[in-house]
Amino acid sequence: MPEDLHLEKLELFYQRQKVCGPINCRFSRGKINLVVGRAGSGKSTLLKAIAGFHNEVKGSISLDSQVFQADGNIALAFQNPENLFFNPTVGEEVCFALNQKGQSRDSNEEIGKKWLERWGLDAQKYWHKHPLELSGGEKRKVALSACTVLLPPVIMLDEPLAGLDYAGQLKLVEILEEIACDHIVLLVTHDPELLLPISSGILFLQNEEADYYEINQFIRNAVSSSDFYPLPKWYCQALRPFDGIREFPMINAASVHEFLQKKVE
Amino acid sequence: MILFDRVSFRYKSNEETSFAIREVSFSCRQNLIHGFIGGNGSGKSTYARLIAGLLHPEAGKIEVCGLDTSAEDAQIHRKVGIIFQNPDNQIVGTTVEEDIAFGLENLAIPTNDMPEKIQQIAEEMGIENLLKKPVHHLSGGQKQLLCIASVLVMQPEWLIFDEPTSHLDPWSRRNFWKMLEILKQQRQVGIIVISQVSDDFENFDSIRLFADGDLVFTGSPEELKVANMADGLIHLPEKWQFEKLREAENA
Ligand SMILES: Nc1ncnc2c1ncn2[C@@H]1O[C@H](COP(=O)(O)OP(=O)(O)OP(=O)(O)O)[C@@H](O)[C@H]1O
Ligand SMILES: [Mg+2]
Repeated sequence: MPEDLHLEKLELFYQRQKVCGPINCRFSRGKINLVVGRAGSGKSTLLKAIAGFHNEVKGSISLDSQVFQADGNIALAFQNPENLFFNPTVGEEVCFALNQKGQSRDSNEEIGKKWLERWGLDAQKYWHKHPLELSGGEKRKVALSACTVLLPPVIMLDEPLAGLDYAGQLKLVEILEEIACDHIVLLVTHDPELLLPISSGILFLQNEEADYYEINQFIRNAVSSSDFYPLPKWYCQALRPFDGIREFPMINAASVHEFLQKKVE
Repeated sequence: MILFDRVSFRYKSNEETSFAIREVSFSCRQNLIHGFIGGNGSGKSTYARLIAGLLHPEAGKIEVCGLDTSAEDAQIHRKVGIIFQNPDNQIVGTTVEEDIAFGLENLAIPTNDMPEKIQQIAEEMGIENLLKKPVHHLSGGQKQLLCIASVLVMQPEWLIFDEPTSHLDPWSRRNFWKMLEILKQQRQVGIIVISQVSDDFENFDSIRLFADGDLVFTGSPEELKVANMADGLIHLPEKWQFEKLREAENA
Protein backbone atom coordinates (compact mmCIF):
# COMPACT_ATOMS: atom_id res chain seq x y z
CA MET A 1 0.00 0.00 0.00
CA PRO A 2 1.45 3.42 -0.95
CA GLU A 3 1.84 6.00 1.83
CA ASP A 4 2.82 9.26 0.22
CA LEU A 5 3.80 10.98 -2.95
CA HIS A 6 6.38 13.63 -2.21
CA LEU A 7 7.04 16.64 -4.46
CA GLU A 8 10.27 18.47 -3.73
CA LYS A 9 11.20 21.76 -5.37
CA LEU A 10 9.12 20.72 -8.34
CA GLU A 11 9.01 23.38 -11.07
CA LEU A 12 6.87 23.17 -14.17
CA PHE A 13 7.76 24.84 -17.47
CA TYR A 14 6.11 25.29 -20.84
CA GLN A 15 8.51 26.10 -23.67
CA ARG A 16 11.09 27.21 -21.10
CA GLN A 17 8.63 29.56 -19.45
CA LYS A 18 7.87 28.81 -15.86
CA VAL A 19 4.24 27.83 -15.25
CA CYS A 20 4.47 27.05 -11.58
CA GLY A 21 6.82 26.19 -8.76
CA PRO A 22 8.68 25.44 -6.68
CA ILE A 23 6.10 23.02 -5.31
CA ASN A 24 6.90 21.30 -2.05
CA CYS A 25 4.25 19.04 -0.66
CA ARG A 26 3.21 15.56 0.36
CA PHE A 27 0.09 13.87 -0.95
CA SER A 28 -0.90 11.09 1.40
CA ARG A 29 -3.21 8.14 1.41
CA GLY A 30 -6.27 8.09 3.71
CA LYS A 31 -8.05 11.15 2.39
CA ILE A 32 -8.01 12.75 -1.02
CA ASN A 33 -5.74 15.66 -2.00
CA LEU A 34 -7.19 18.68 -3.80
CA VAL A 35 -5.53 20.99 -6.30
CA VAL A 36 -7.26 24.31 -7.08
CA GLY A 37 -6.42 27.52 -8.93
CA ARG A 38 -7.40 29.74 -11.82
CA ALA A 39 -7.48 28.55 -15.40
CA GLY A 40 -3.92 28.47 -16.66
CA SER A 41 -2.30 28.20 -13.22
CA GLY A 42 -0.76 24.83 -14.06
CA LYS A 43 -3.11 22.32 -12.42
CA SER A 44 -3.42 19.98 -15.37
CA THR A 45 0.28 20.37 -16.15
CA LEU A 46 1.08 19.23 -12.63
CA LEU A 47 -0.99 16.06 -13.05
CA LYS A 48 0.62 15.40 -16.43
CA ALA A 49 4.07 15.94 -14.95
CA ILE A 50 3.40 13.39 -12.22
CA ALA A 51 2.01 11.01 -14.84
CA GLY A 52 5.19 11.42 -16.87
CA PHE A 53 3.40 12.97 -19.87
CA HIS A 54 4.95 16.36 -19.36
CA ASN A 55 8.72 16.41 -19.10
CA GLU A 56 9.67 20.06 -18.84
CA VAL A 57 10.16 19.86 -15.08
CA LYS A 58 12.83 20.38 -12.45
CA GLY A 59 12.92 18.95 -8.96
CA SER A 60 11.88 15.53 -7.76
CA ILE A 61 8.85 13.30 -7.31
CA SER A 62 9.09 10.31 -5.01
CA LEU A 63 6.71 7.62 -3.84
CA ASP A 64 7.50 6.31 -0.36
CA SER A 65 11.06 7.68 -0.64
CA GLN A 66 11.76 5.97 -3.97
CA VAL A 67 12.09 7.91 -7.22
CA PHE A 68 8.57 7.76 -8.67
CA GLN A 69 8.10 5.57 -11.74
CA ALA A 70 4.83 6.69 -13.32
CA ASP A 71 4.59 3.80 -15.73
CA GLY A 72 2.09 1.25 -14.43
CA ASN A 73 1.61 3.16 -11.18
CA ILE A 74 -0.91 5.80 -12.19
CA ALA A 75 -4.38 6.21 -13.60
CA LEU A 76 -5.34 9.64 -14.93
CA ALA A 77 -8.89 10.71 -15.80
CA PHE A 78 -8.62 13.66 -18.17
CA GLN A 79 -10.58 16.88 -18.15
CA ASN A 80 -12.33 16.33 -21.49
CA PRO A 81 -13.12 12.65 -21.73
CA GLU A 82 -14.69 12.75 -25.18
CA ASN A 83 -11.41 13.80 -26.77
CA LEU A 84 -9.86 10.53 -25.77
CA PHE A 85 -12.44 7.87 -26.48
CA PHE A 86 -11.15 5.61 -29.21
CA ASN A 87 -13.03 2.34 -28.77
CA PRO A 88 -16.23 1.54 -30.68
CA THR A 89 -18.25 0.55 -27.62
CA VAL A 90 -18.59 1.66 -24.02
CA GLY A 91 -17.67 -1.84 -22.88
CA GLU A 92 -14.36 -1.87 -24.73
CA GLU A 93 -13.58 1.65 -23.60
CA VAL A 94 -14.13 0.76 -19.95
CA CYS A 95 -12.21 -2.51 -20.12
CA PHE A 96 -9.36 -1.24 -22.28
CA ALA A 97 -6.72 -1.04 -19.56
CA LEU A 98 -7.77 -4.38 -18.08
CA ASN A 99 -7.65 -6.15 -21.44
CA GLN A 100 -4.21 -4.67 -22.10
CA LYS A 101 -3.02 -6.36 -18.96
CA GLY A 102 -4.26 -9.69 -20.21
CA GLN A 103 -6.48 -11.68 -17.83
CA SER A 104 -9.67 -13.28 -18.97
CA ARG A 105 -12.09 -11.14 -20.97
CA ASP A 106 -15.04 -12.52 -19.03
CA SER A 107 -13.72 -11.50 -15.66
CA ASN A 108 -12.68 -8.13 -17.07
CA GLU A 109 -16.19 -7.60 -18.37
CA GLU A 110 -17.59 -8.37 -14.96
CA ILE A 111 -15.29 -5.80 -13.35
CA GLY A 112 -16.11 -3.21 -16.01
CA LYS A 113 -19.86 -3.66 -15.58
CA LYS A 114 -19.57 -3.42 -11.84
CA TRP A 115 -17.82 -0.05 -12.12
CA LEU A 116 -20.24 1.32 -14.69
CA GLU A 117 -23.08 0.53 -12.32
CA ARG A 118 -21.23 2.10 -9.42
CA TRP A 119 -20.79 5.30 -11.37
CA GLY A 120 -24.51 5.29 -12.08
CA LEU A 121 -24.92 3.88 -15.60
CA ASP A 122 -27.09 0.88 -16.35
CA ALA A 123 -24.45 -1.56 -17.67
CA GLN A 124 -26.98 -3.60 -19.62
CA LYS A 125 -28.21 -0.55 -21.46
CA TYR A 126 -24.90 1.17 -22.14
CA TRP A 127 -22.38 -1.64 -22.66
CA HIS A 128 -22.78 -1.85 -26.44
CA LYS A 129 -23.41 1.83 -27.15
CA HIS A 130 -20.93 4.01 -29.00
CA PRO A 131 -19.12 6.25 -26.48
CA LEU A 132 -19.73 9.35 -28.59
CA GLU A 133 -23.50 8.76 -28.63
CA LEU A 134 -23.78 9.62 -24.98
CA SER A 135 -24.71 12.77 -23.09
CA GLY A 136 -21.93 14.85 -21.51
CA GLY A 137 -22.43 13.44 -18.02
CA GLU A 138 -22.71 9.88 -19.31
CA LYS A 139 -19.34 10.29 -21.09
CA ARG A 140 -17.84 11.49 -17.84
CA LYS A 141 -19.15 8.38 -16.08
CA VAL A 142 -17.65 6.11 -18.74
CA ALA A 143 -14.29 7.87 -18.39
CA LEU A 144 -14.42 7.51 -14.62
CA SER A 145 -15.24 3.81 -14.93
CA ALA A 146 -12.30 3.34 -17.30
CA CYS A 147 -10.10 5.06 -14.74
CA THR A 148 -11.20 2.97 -11.78
CA VAL A 149 -11.30 -0.57 -13.26
CA LEU A 150 -7.61 -0.83 -12.62
CA LEU A 151 -6.57 0.77 -9.40
CA PRO A 152 -2.85 1.54 -9.43
CA PRO A 153 -1.28 3.21 -6.36
CA VAL A 154 -1.77 6.77 -7.60
CA ILE A 155 -5.15 7.93 -9.00
CA MET A 156 -5.42 11.39 -10.54
CA LEU A 157 -8.61 13.09 -11.69
CA ASP A 158 -8.80 16.34 -13.63
CA GLU A 159 -12.06 18.19 -12.91
CA PRO A 160 -14.13 15.04 -12.55
CA LEU A 161 -17.16 16.94 -11.19
CA ALA A 162 -17.64 18.99 -14.36
CA GLY A 163 -20.78 17.83 -16.15
CA LEU A 164 -21.88 15.39 -13.45
CA ASP A 165 -25.35 15.93 -12.01
CA TYR A 166 -25.75 16.18 -8.25
CA ALA A 167 -26.44 12.46 -7.80
CA GLY A 168 -23.30 11.70 -9.79
CA GLN A 169 -21.26 14.11 -7.71
CA LEU A 170 -22.39 12.43 -4.50
CA LYS A 171 -21.39 9.06 -5.95
CA LEU A 172 -17.99 10.48 -6.78
CA VAL A 173 -17.48 11.61 -3.21
CA GLU A 174 -18.51 8.22 -1.86
CA ILE A 175 -16.33 6.23 -4.25
CA LEU A 176 -13.25 8.40 -3.82
CA GLU A 177 -13.50 8.32 -0.06
CA GLU A 178 -13.30 4.55 -0.26
CA ILE A 179 -10.50 4.46 -2.84
CA ALA A 180 -8.42 6.93 -0.83
CA CYS A 181 -8.15 4.42 2.02
CA ASP A 182 -5.52 2.47 0.16
CA HIS A 183 -4.55 4.72 -2.76
CA ILE A 184 -3.13 8.18 -3.18
CA VAL A 185 -5.81 10.27 -4.84
CA LEU A 186 -5.13 13.68 -6.42
CA LEU A 187 -8.03 15.72 -7.70
CA VAL A 188 -8.09 19.00 -9.62
CA THR A 189 -11.33 20.92 -9.25
CA HIS A 190 -13.16 24.24 -9.50
CA ASP A 191 -15.85 22.98 -7.11
CA PRO A 192 -14.16 21.96 -3.86
CA GLU A 193 -17.29 22.36 -1.68
CA LEU A 194 -18.55 18.78 -1.76
CA LEU A 195 -15.05 17.33 -1.57
CA LEU A 196 -13.69 19.22 1.42
CA PRO A 197 -15.01 16.73 4.03
CA ILE A 198 -13.06 13.86 2.43
CA SER A 199 -9.89 15.86 1.75
CA SER A 200 -6.75 16.20 3.82
CA GLY A 201 -5.53 19.42 2.23
CA ILE A 202 -5.52 21.76 -0.71
CA LEU A 203 -2.69 22.75 -2.98
CA PHE A 204 -3.52 26.23 -4.28
CA LEU A 205 -1.66 27.25 -7.44
CA GLN A 206 -1.52 30.98 -8.01
CA ASN A 207 0.82 33.47 -9.67
CA GLU A 208 3.37 30.76 -10.38
CA GLU A 209 3.38 29.83 -6.72
CA ALA A 210 2.02 26.81 -4.94
CA ASP A 211 0.77 26.94 -1.37
CA TYR A 212 -0.47 23.98 0.60
CA TYR A 213 -3.30 24.52 3.09
CA GLU A 214 -4.87 22.31 5.66
CA ILE A 215 -8.66 22.32 4.99
CA ASN A 216 -9.79 24.48 7.90
CA GLN A 217 -7.06 27.00 7.21
CA PHE A 218 -8.17 27.22 3.60
CA ILE A 219 -11.80 27.79 4.58
CA ARG A 220 -10.79 30.34 7.23
CA ASN A 221 -8.82 32.36 4.68
CA ALA A 222 -11.70 32.26 2.19
CA VAL A 223 -14.25 33.25 4.83
CA SER A 224 -12.20 36.17 6.14
CA SER A 225 -11.20 37.56 2.76
CA SER A 226 -13.22 37.34 -0.43
CA ASP A 227 -10.02 37.95 -2.41
CA PHE A 228 -8.49 34.66 -1.29
CA TYR A 229 -10.70 32.11 -3.01
CA PRO A 230 -14.37 32.45 -3.99
CA LEU A 231 -16.23 29.96 -1.79
CA PRO A 232 -20.06 30.42 -1.90
CA LYS A 233 -21.01 33.90 -0.67
CA TRP A 234 -23.86 32.77 1.58
CA TYR A 235 -21.44 30.46 3.42
CA CYS A 236 -18.77 33.11 3.89
CA GLN A 237 -21.31 35.63 5.14
CA ALA A 238 -22.83 33.21 7.62
CA LEU A 239 -19.44 32.13 8.99
CA ARG A 240 -17.54 35.43 8.96
CA PRO A 241 -18.42 36.29 12.59
CA PHE A 242 -16.88 32.97 13.64
CA ASP A 243 -13.68 32.94 11.61
CA GLY A 244 -11.62 32.16 14.70
CA ILE A 245 -13.10 28.67 15.13
CA ARG A 246 -10.91 25.61 14.73
CA GLU A 247 -13.26 23.46 12.73
CA PHE A 248 -15.61 24.85 10.09
CA PRO A 249 -18.95 23.24 9.29
CA MET A 250 -19.34 21.61 5.87
CA ILE A 251 -20.45 23.83 3.00
CA ASN A 252 -24.09 22.82 2.91
CA ALA A 253 -27.24 24.38 4.29
CA ALA A 254 -27.96 21.76 6.95
CA SER A 255 -24.46 21.78 8.46
CA VAL A 256 -24.21 25.56 8.61
CA HIS A 257 -27.69 25.87 10.07
CA GLU A 258 -26.91 23.35 12.77
CA PHE A 259 -23.64 25.09 13.54
CA LEU A 260 -25.36 28.47 13.97
CA GLN A 261 -28.04 27.01 16.21
CA LYS A 262 -25.42 25.58 18.52
CA LYS A 263 -23.66 28.93 18.66
CA VAL A 264 -26.86 30.65 19.78
CA GLU A 265 -27.45 28.18 22.61
CA MET B 1 -39.48 33.46 -30.12
CA ILE B 2 -38.93 29.72 -29.96
CA LEU B 3 -41.95 27.50 -30.33
CA PHE B 4 -42.20 23.76 -29.69
CA ASP B 5 -45.49 22.32 -30.89
CA ARG B 6 -46.10 18.71 -29.87
CA VAL B 7 -42.53 17.77 -30.72
CA SER B 8 -41.43 14.14 -30.70
CA PHE B 9 -37.89 12.97 -31.22
CA ARG B 10 -35.77 9.81 -30.98
CA TYR B 11 -32.11 9.31 -31.90
CA LYS B 12 -32.78 5.89 -33.37
CA SER B 13 -36.31 5.21 -34.42
CA ASN B 14 -35.95 1.42 -34.14
CA GLU B 15 -34.82 1.28 -30.52
CA GLU B 16 -37.87 1.26 -28.30
CA THR B 17 -36.11 1.55 -24.96
CA SER B 18 -33.78 4.43 -25.65
CA PHE B 19 -34.24 8.11 -24.94
CA ALA B 20 -37.31 9.79 -26.43
CA ILE B 21 -39.07 13.16 -26.44
CA ARG B 22 -42.83 12.67 -26.66
CA GLU B 23 -45.18 15.43 -27.81
CA VAL B 24 -43.57 18.25 -25.88
CA SER B 25 -44.82 21.83 -26.32
CA PHE B 26 -43.44 25.10 -24.92
CA SER B 27 -42.24 28.51 -26.00
CA CYS B 28 -39.37 30.86 -25.05
CA ARG B 29 -39.41 34.63 -25.41
CA GLN B 30 -36.43 36.69 -26.51
CA ASN B 31 -34.60 39.16 -24.22
CA LEU B 32 -34.60 36.76 -21.30
CA ILE B 33 -32.05 34.35 -19.91
CA HIS B 34 -33.66 30.92 -20.01
CA GLY B 35 -32.17 28.16 -17.89
CA PHE B 36 -32.48 24.53 -19.01
CA ILE B 37 -31.76 22.24 -16.09
CA GLY B 38 -32.08 18.52 -15.31
CA GLY B 39 -29.96 15.45 -14.54
CA ASN B 40 -27.50 13.68 -16.82
CA GLY B 41 -29.20 12.25 -19.87
CA SER B 42 -32.44 14.16 -19.26
CA GLY B 43 -32.33 15.70 -22.75
CA LYS B 44 -30.99 19.24 -22.25
CA SER B 45 -28.37 19.08 -25.01
CA THR B 46 -30.82 17.32 -27.30
CA TYR B 47 -33.25 20.22 -26.93
CA ALA B 48 -30.41 22.63 -27.70
CA ARG B 49 -29.54 20.74 -30.88
CA LEU B 50 -33.18 20.65 -31.93
CA ILE B 51 -33.49 24.42 -31.53
CA ALA B 52 -30.27 25.00 -33.48
CA GLY B 53 -31.57 22.85 -36.33
CA LEU B 54 -28.79 20.30 -35.87
CA LEU B 55 -31.45 17.65 -35.20
CA HIS B 56 -34.99 17.54 -36.50
CA PRO B 57 -38.19 16.39 -34.85
CA GLU B 58 -39.79 13.13 -35.88
CA ALA B 59 -43.24 14.64 -35.40
CA GLY B 60 -44.55 18.06 -34.45
CA LYS B 61 -42.97 21.37 -35.30
CA ILE B 62 -40.24 23.69 -34.00
CA GLU B 63 -40.25 27.35 -34.99
CA VAL B 64 -37.42 29.78 -34.31
CA CYS B 65 -38.05 33.44 -35.22
CA GLY B 66 -41.00 32.27 -37.30
CA LEU B 67 -38.94 29.76 -39.29
CA ASP B 68 -39.59 26.03 -39.32
CA THR B 69 -36.30 24.37 -38.26
CA SER B 70 -36.99 21.32 -40.43
CA ALA B 71 -37.59 23.33 -43.58
CA GLU B 72 -35.03 26.13 -43.33
CA ASP B 73 -31.77 24.71 -42.00
CA ALA B 74 -29.43 27.29 -43.49
CA GLN B 75 -31.43 30.22 -42.14
CA ILE B 76 -31.67 28.64 -38.70
CA HIS B 77 -27.91 28.14 -38.48
CA ARG B 78 -27.55 31.91 -38.85
CA LYS B 79 -30.21 32.76 -36.34
CA VAL B 80 -29.08 30.39 -33.60
CA GLY B 81 -25.54 30.43 -32.25
CA ILE B 82 -24.59 27.51 -30.05
CA ILE B 83 -21.61 27.31 -27.73
CA PHE B 84 -20.81 23.73 -26.84
CA GLN B 85 -19.77 22.18 -23.57
CA ASN B 86 -16.11 22.01 -24.55
CA PRO B 87 -14.72 25.09 -26.35
CA ASP B 88 -11.80 23.09 -27.76
CA ASN B 89 -14.19 21.32 -30.10
CA GLN B 90 -15.47 24.59 -31.47
CA ILE B 91 -12.39 26.69 -32.15
CA VAL B 92 -11.29 26.31 -35.78
CA GLY B 93 -8.79 29.14 -36.30
CA THR B 94 -5.14 29.02 -35.27
CA THR B 95 -5.23 32.58 -33.91
CA VAL B 96 -8.01 34.47 -32.16
CA GLU B 97 -8.45 36.80 -35.12
CA GLU B 98 -8.64 33.95 -37.58
CA ASP B 99 -11.25 32.13 -35.55
CA ILE B 100 -13.53 35.16 -35.49
CA ALA B 101 -12.96 35.76 -39.23
CA PHE B 102 -14.05 32.23 -40.01
CA GLY B 103 -17.66 32.94 -39.11
CA LEU B 104 -17.64 36.13 -41.16
CA GLU B 105 -16.37 34.28 -44.20
CA ASN B 106 -19.33 31.96 -43.89
CA LEU B 107 -21.60 34.98 -44.01
CA ALA B 108 -19.83 36.16 -47.17
CA ILE B 109 -18.89 39.52 -45.62
CA PRO B 110 -16.52 41.47 -47.93
CA THR B 111 -12.90 41.00 -46.82
CA ASN B 112 -12.42 44.76 -46.48
CA ASP B 113 -15.09 45.04 -43.81
CA MET B 114 -13.77 42.21 -41.73
CA PRO B 115 -11.01 43.87 -39.63
CA GLU B 116 -13.42 46.47 -38.29
CA LYS B 117 -16.06 43.91 -37.41
CA ILE B 118 -13.47 41.70 -35.73
CA GLN B 119 -12.07 44.61 -33.74
CA GLN B 120 -15.57 45.62 -32.61
CA ILE B 121 -16.60 42.23 -31.36
CA ALA B 122 -13.24 41.64 -29.69
CA GLU B 123 -13.62 44.89 -27.79
CA GLU B 124 -17.14 43.96 -26.77
CA MET B 125 -15.88 40.66 -25.32
CA GLY B 126 -12.76 42.23 -23.84
CA ILE B 127 -10.32 40.12 -25.83
CA GLU B 128 -8.95 42.83 -28.14
CA ASN B 129 -5.45 42.33 -26.72
CA LEU B 130 -5.52 38.67 -27.67
CA LEU B 131 -6.33 38.98 -31.37
CA LYS B 132 -2.89 37.87 -32.60
CA LYS B 133 -2.51 35.11 -30.01
CA PRO B 134 -2.42 31.45 -31.00
CA VAL B 135 -5.59 29.84 -29.67
CA HIS B 136 -3.76 27.13 -27.76
CA HIS B 137 -2.21 29.83 -25.53
CA LEU B 138 -5.60 30.90 -24.20
CA SER B 139 -6.93 29.97 -20.78
CA GLY B 140 -10.27 28.16 -20.46
CA GLY B 141 -12.16 31.37 -19.72
CA GLN B 142 -10.51 33.17 -22.64
CA LYS B 143 -11.35 30.32 -25.01
CA GLN B 144 -14.94 30.62 -23.99
CA LEU B 145 -14.97 34.37 -24.65
CA LEU B 146 -13.49 33.65 -28.08
CA CYS B 147 -16.23 31.12 -28.86
CA ILE B 148 -18.84 33.67 -27.85
CA ALA B 149 -17.18 36.36 -29.99
CA SER B 150 -17.01 34.04 -33.00
CA VAL B 151 -20.70 33.24 -32.66
CA LEU B 152 -21.84 36.80 -31.84
CA VAL B 153 -20.08 38.30 -34.83
CA MET B 154 -22.63 36.49 -36.98
CA GLN B 155 -25.38 38.44 -35.20
CA PRO B 156 -27.57 35.53 -34.19
CA GLU B 157 -30.97 36.12 -32.61
CA TRP B 158 -30.55 33.29 -30.15
CA LEU B 159 -27.52 32.17 -28.19
CA ILE B 160 -27.42 28.75 -26.60
CA PHE B 161 -24.74 27.85 -24.05
CA ASP B 162 -24.34 24.17 -23.21
CA GLU B 163 -22.97 24.01 -19.65
CA PRO B 164 -20.82 27.13 -19.97
CA THR B 165 -19.91 27.32 -16.30
CA SER B 166 -18.92 23.77 -15.45
CA HIS B 167 -15.40 24.11 -16.87
CA LEU B 168 -14.79 27.66 -15.67
CA ASP B 169 -12.89 28.55 -12.54
CA PRO B 170 -15.00 30.31 -9.89
CA TRP B 171 -13.58 33.74 -10.79
CA SER B 172 -14.45 33.35 -14.47
CA ARG B 173 -17.91 32.09 -13.53
CA ARG B 174 -18.73 35.40 -11.90
CA ASN B 175 -17.46 37.26 -14.97
CA PHE B 176 -19.54 35.03 -17.22
CA TRP B 177 -22.78 36.08 -15.55
CA LYS B 178 -21.83 39.75 -15.66
CA MET B 179 -21.03 39.41 -19.36
CA LEU B 180 -24.38 37.69 -20.00
CA GLU B 181 -26.35 40.46 -18.29
CA ILE B 182 -24.62 43.03 -20.49
CA LEU B 183 -25.33 40.99 -23.62
CA LYS B 184 -28.98 40.74 -22.69
CA GLN B 185 -29.26 44.47 -22.19
CA GLN B 186 -27.26 45.63 -25.19
CA ARG B 187 -28.28 43.20 -27.88
CA GLN B 188 -31.55 41.88 -29.16
CA VAL B 189 -30.91 38.27 -28.31
CA GLY B 190 -32.60 35.44 -26.56
CA ILE B 191 -30.29 33.43 -24.33
CA ILE B 192 -30.54 29.80 -23.26
CA VAL B 193 -28.10 28.45 -20.70
CA ILE B 194 -27.91 24.76 -19.91
CA SER B 195 -26.51 24.15 -16.46
CA GLN B 196 -25.82 21.51 -13.89
CA VAL B 197 -24.41 24.01 -11.40
CA SER B 198 -27.18 24.82 -8.93
CA ASP B 199 -25.54 28.11 -7.94
CA ASP B 200 -26.36 29.29 -11.47
CA PHE B 201 -30.11 29.00 -10.98
CA GLU B 202 -30.69 32.42 -9.50
CA ASN B 203 -29.17 34.07 -12.56
CA PHE B 204 -31.99 32.80 -14.76
CA ASP B 205 -35.10 34.80 -15.62
CA SER B 206 -36.99 31.63 -16.44
CA ILE B 207 -36.25 27.97 -15.72
CA ARG B 208 -37.26 24.76 -17.49
CA LEU B 209 -36.57 21.45 -15.80
CA PHE B 210 -36.25 18.32 -17.91
CA ALA B 211 -36.45 14.70 -16.81
CA ASP B 212 -36.15 11.72 -19.11
CA GLY B 213 -36.95 13.78 -22.21
CA ASP B 214 -39.99 15.42 -20.64
CA LEU B 215 -40.47 19.03 -19.60
CA VAL B 216 -41.54 18.73 -15.96
CA PHE B 217 -41.34 22.31 -14.66
CA THR B 218 -41.49 25.83 -16.11
CA GLY B 219 -41.26 28.94 -13.95
CA SER B 220 -39.14 31.61 -12.34
CA PRO B 221 -36.37 30.88 -9.81
CA GLU B 222 -38.78 32.07 -7.08
CA GLU B 223 -41.36 29.55 -8.24
CA LEU B 224 -38.79 26.76 -8.38
CA LYS B 225 -37.74 27.62 -4.84
CA VAL B 226 -41.18 26.77 -3.50
CA ALA B 227 -42.25 24.13 -6.02
CA ASN B 228 -43.07 20.68 -4.72
CA MET B 229 -40.68 18.48 -6.61
CA ALA B 230 -40.37 14.70 -6.51
CA ASP B 231 -37.34 13.51 -4.54
CA GLY B 232 -34.08 13.39 -6.44
CA LEU B 233 -35.42 15.30 -9.44
CA ILE B 234 -33.42 18.40 -8.72
CA HIS B 235 -30.92 19.63 -6.17
CA LEU B 236 -31.80 23.17 -5.15
CA PRO B 237 -28.94 25.58 -4.44
CA GLU B 238 -27.60 25.24 -0.90
CA LYS B 239 -28.08 28.98 -0.58
CA TRP B 240 -31.84 28.62 -1.08
CA GLN B 241 -32.01 25.72 1.33
CA PHE B 242 -30.12 27.74 3.90
CA GLU B 243 -32.50 30.69 3.50
CA LYS B 244 -35.46 28.35 3.94
CA LEU B 245 -34.03 26.95 7.16
CA ARG B 246 -33.43 30.45 8.51
CA GLU B 247 -36.93 31.57 7.57
CA ALA B 248 -38.51 28.53 9.20
CA GLU B 249 -36.57 29.33 12.34
CA ASN B 250 -37.64 32.96 12.44
CA ALA B 251 -41.27 32.14 11.75
N1 LIG C 1 -25.83 11.11 -30.74
C1 LIG C 1 -26.61 10.34 -29.97
N2 LIG C 1 -27.07 9.14 -30.41
C2 LIG C 1 -27.86 8.37 -29.64
N3 LIG C 1 -28.24 8.69 -28.39
C3 LIG C 1 -27.82 9.86 -27.88
C4 LIG C 1 -26.98 10.76 -28.64
N4 LIG C 1 -26.72 11.84 -27.88
C5 LIG C 1 -27.37 11.65 -26.71
N5 LIG C 1 -28.03 10.48 -26.69
C6 LIG C 1 -28.86 9.94 -25.60
O1 LIG C 1 -29.98 10.80 -25.38
C7 LIG C 1 -30.22 11.02 -24.00
C8 LIG C 1 -30.27 12.52 -23.74
O2 LIG C 1 -29.00 13.07 -23.99
P1 LIG C 1 -28.64 14.61 -23.81
O3 LIG C 1 -27.26 14.78 -24.32
O4 LIG C 1 -29.71 15.42 -24.41
O5 LIG C 1 -28.70 14.75 -22.23
P2 LIG C 1 -28.29 15.98 -21.28
O6 LIG C 1 -29.49 16.35 -20.52
O7 LIG C 1 -27.62 17.02 -22.07
O8 LIG C 1 -27.28 15.26 -20.28
P3 LIG C 1 -25.88 15.75 -19.62
O9 LIG C 1 -26.22 16.55 -18.42
O10 LIG C 1 -25.25 14.47 -19.20
O11 LIG C 1 -25.10 16.50 -20.66
C9 LIG C 1 -29.12 10.28 -23.26
O12 LIG C 1 -29.64 9.12 -22.70
C10 LIG C 1 -28.08 9.95 -24.31
O13 LIG C 1 -27.51 8.68 -24.05
MG1 LIG D 1 -25.55 17.78 -22.18
